[in-house]
Amino acid sequence: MTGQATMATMVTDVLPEIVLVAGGVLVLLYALLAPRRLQGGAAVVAMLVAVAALTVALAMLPGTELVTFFGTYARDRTALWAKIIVLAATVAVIGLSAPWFRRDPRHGEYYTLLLFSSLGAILLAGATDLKELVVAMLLSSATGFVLSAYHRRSSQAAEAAIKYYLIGALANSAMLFGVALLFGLAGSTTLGGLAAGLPSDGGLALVIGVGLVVVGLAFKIGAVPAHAWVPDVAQGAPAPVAAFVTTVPKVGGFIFLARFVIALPPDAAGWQPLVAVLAAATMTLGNLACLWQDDLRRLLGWSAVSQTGYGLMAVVALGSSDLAVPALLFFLLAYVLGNLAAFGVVVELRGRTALADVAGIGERRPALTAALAISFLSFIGVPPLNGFVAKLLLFLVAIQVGYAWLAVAAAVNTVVSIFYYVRVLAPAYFGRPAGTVAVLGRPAASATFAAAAAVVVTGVAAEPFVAAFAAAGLVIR
Amino acid sequence: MEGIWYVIGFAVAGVSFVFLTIGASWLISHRTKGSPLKGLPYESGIPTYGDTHGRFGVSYYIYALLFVAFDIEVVFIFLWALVVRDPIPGVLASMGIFIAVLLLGLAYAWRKGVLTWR
Amino acid sequence: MSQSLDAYLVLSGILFAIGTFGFLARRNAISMLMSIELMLNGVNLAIVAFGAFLPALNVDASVIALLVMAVAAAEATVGLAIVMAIYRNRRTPLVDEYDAMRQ
Repeated sequence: MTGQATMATMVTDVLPEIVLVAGGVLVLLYALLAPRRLQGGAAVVAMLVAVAALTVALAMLPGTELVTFFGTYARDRTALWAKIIVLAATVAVIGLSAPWFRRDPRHGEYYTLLLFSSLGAILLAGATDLKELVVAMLLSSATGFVLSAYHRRSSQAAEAAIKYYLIGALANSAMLFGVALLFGLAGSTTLGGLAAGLPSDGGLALVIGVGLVVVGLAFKIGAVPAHAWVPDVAQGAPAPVAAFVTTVPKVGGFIFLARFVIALPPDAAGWQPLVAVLAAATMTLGNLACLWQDDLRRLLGWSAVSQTGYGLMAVVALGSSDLAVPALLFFLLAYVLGNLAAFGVVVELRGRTALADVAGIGERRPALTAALAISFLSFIGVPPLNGFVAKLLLFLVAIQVGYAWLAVAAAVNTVVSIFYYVRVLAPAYFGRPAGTVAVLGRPAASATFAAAAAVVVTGVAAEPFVAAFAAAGLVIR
Repeated sequence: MEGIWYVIGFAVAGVSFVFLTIGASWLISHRTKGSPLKGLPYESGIPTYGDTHGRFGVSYYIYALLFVAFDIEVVFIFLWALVVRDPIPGVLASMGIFIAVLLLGLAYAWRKGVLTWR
Repeated sequence: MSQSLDAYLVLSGILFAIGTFGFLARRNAISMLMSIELMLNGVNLAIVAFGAFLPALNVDASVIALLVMAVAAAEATVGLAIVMAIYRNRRTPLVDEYDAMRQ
């Protein structure tokens, strides 16, 4: 039967996703059946699942690029690279979480949520249908809310979670309204259908529909106008969760945003200036809020906002520059690795985050401080770290498509950002240590050092990565 | 493309309604910046004590949440049932997997002791 | 027939706007959740109206409407659980009193 055969081939297109679903279920079963003292074993199971899915995604890279499941799901190299970044980040976060949640009685099922949340991000990266977008957003957000509130007796975590939730619910509803408008205008929900069916003179309804969907995605990537949750979650949520929700959903959100804007009729909705303004506002706001921040985690949250602004420069260039997709992918790679290393340091410091706590750790914990320094220098864009290559590509594509003012704004912001990163690093190296610096343990340290090492390696040997990303297509039909 | 204008009209109406309402409430409402004492039921007399809101058993609330969550999953079974004409094994298996995953969620709630009535 | 599609769409826009207004104006977290539900109902009304008046969209619209209902239920469940968690900590459902973290 041909129907059976095509169904079978379609199933192989979503193999990493299936591994994640089955793995998440497996972890939940383990958490249900294992006695309390063996709950930590769930981390090992989850790690194996994430590595298995990562291996499958890597093996799928040479395959052909196509849209599967009746035009609703892309299996292209952009989506696969996004999966690889997401899953690598998930592996690192599992490493950070294992010691952090060691004493939590609900340790086991935490990893189910983590795996399902990264599945949501992966679905976002592959979605080519607005229905798929709705479901992927829900999966990625709902798990994120619960993860942020995982320390439910902690007042700060609950507060972070409710702010995350309220902003998310509002943005999500706005996005659904936008989806309804676009569906009515185009008569279809697939991105291919939108590209074919959206009238280029759709007028205000098209602008509003596109704007509302962009608001929903802005929440996911932490951009203006739905950015306010990022600093709160970074500060209040459990530190490994903060590392997760400021990185992984962003990958999915960025890739879907990229697919969405190339599906729009050219010049119809004025999306290019819209995204450019959002980019400038996001990077500037994030930077300004960072300036006098006295809490390391909150500073990392606001710096994540400003990094999103830089990344949006690549989205502006989509469709007009061949370098846009590689710039976006390399930015995501650099950002995710840098942020994981920085939050890894916070986790390893047992979540102490006042700037005073960091003073003098360079003397007591040289390797850890080096990881923090590497990630901050990469955020600034100092060669040869990967942040430099990412910024270079982003500036290049912005200038290529005639948005030189955006590149100038980003350059000014970069110069400003040196101030607050140095404001943390200087006391860390030259301050006086205030007693011993307690750290968390080996799994967290290895994840942190691996992320920091990857920041250096992908910066020094950026060329093969850029070449590989340049071969990645972004298909929507 | 006459239909577009309806859509535009409804979008404009939707957006302007928000601002009209906010503006109206700003115009009509009283704006007093008094002390919290102003908000008390009795401005003079003995101070009230205790929580105004009665408490409900928390176990009841979790039942409600579980009900809502599982109730809505039936929606997807409904869609599936509409499409399925001849129940070949693959089709049945896909729904079986879906329900099995849901059942696992229920089993989780059971194991965590949520289902015991207190 | 087409004359009344706009009536449904205007109604859905108004529902959505009332929900948005309620969300922005209310301080009580539970009221904010209810406002979200109202917004989603507005969305669903628009979708179902498109499906009813444009025959080509009939099936798609039903599926999206059911998806939106599932989204609403899942979000409300998670939201209520989080509100309960913070209520146990702070003893208040008023969101403007959740201000322990400041920039």
